[in-house]
Amino acid sequence: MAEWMLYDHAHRHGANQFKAWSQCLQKPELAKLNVKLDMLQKHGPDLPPQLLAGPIRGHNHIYKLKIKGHVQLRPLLCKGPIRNDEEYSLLIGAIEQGGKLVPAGAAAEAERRRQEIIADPQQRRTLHERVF
Amino acid sequence: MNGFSDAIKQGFRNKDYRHSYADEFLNETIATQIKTLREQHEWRQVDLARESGMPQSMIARLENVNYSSWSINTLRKLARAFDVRLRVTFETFGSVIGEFESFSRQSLQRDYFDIDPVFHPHVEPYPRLMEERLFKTPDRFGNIIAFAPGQALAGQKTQASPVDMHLMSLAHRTQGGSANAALGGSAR
Repeated sequence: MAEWMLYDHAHRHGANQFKAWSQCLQKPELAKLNVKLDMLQKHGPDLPPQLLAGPIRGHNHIYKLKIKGHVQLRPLLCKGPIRNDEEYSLLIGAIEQGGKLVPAGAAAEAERRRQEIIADPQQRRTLHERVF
Repeated sequence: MNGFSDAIKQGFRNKDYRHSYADEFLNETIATQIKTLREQHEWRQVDLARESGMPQSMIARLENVNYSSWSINTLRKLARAFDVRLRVTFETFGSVIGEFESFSRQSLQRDYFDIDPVFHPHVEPYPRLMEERLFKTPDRFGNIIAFAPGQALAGQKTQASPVDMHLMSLAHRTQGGSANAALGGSAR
């Protein structure tokens, strides 16, 4: 079974903000995030039940991973967006407080970044950079 | 050596990281295996709830990889419902790599007692892949050589599953015999 490709959104000047967000996490949260990403990469959405949550209301292409802990991490991602059955793109790091995503507007920003990738996949995403 | 095992090894040098990774991987494994075993039995969540004596809402929570509040006692109930044994062991962190690499629907399925080859060597192992299941046929003597999960061996079956229907149609085509005979004659 072919593995899925994971990409990180890249800003215009090439900065990988998802990687920067990951680097700020504590080791336990980082480990939990990496398990989810490893599962996603190896099995896609089908085997581990409810690995992907969503789509987020009002944003039909944006999903979230749920990482429980002292801080409720909610990295936002999308399938594709170039090859929807082969890849995921990590768009923005967020947390959940009181049932709402923080920063506010994270889902809208994720959708904006998704559109950037669609418009210029060569420049606006990079292979996922794992943080330990 | 591949990317996954290298990445896991590198992260595991930190104690907090490796314990959290292993805990999360355990949650993922338990939720996935419960769902896999339920589907192997061709049960809905309500069926498993009835068999295990738990509410369906609890089954739904247990089948969610984000759920971590399961207990040994709960897992014991599920093991009894699936007619398999529960095994709890302490393991080295190195074993995570092999478990991750082999993690698949097939590796999580288990033969329940009625088709456990140790106790029933005459029963052909139940084919675990859907494509294998669909191409199984009864033998020419009408003996059972394949049957649906959850189907009792001794005539307790009450409803033909899609797999049964397919086997019966194949039996008609290949033998010209009765469908019941093809499934062993004792069904229903």
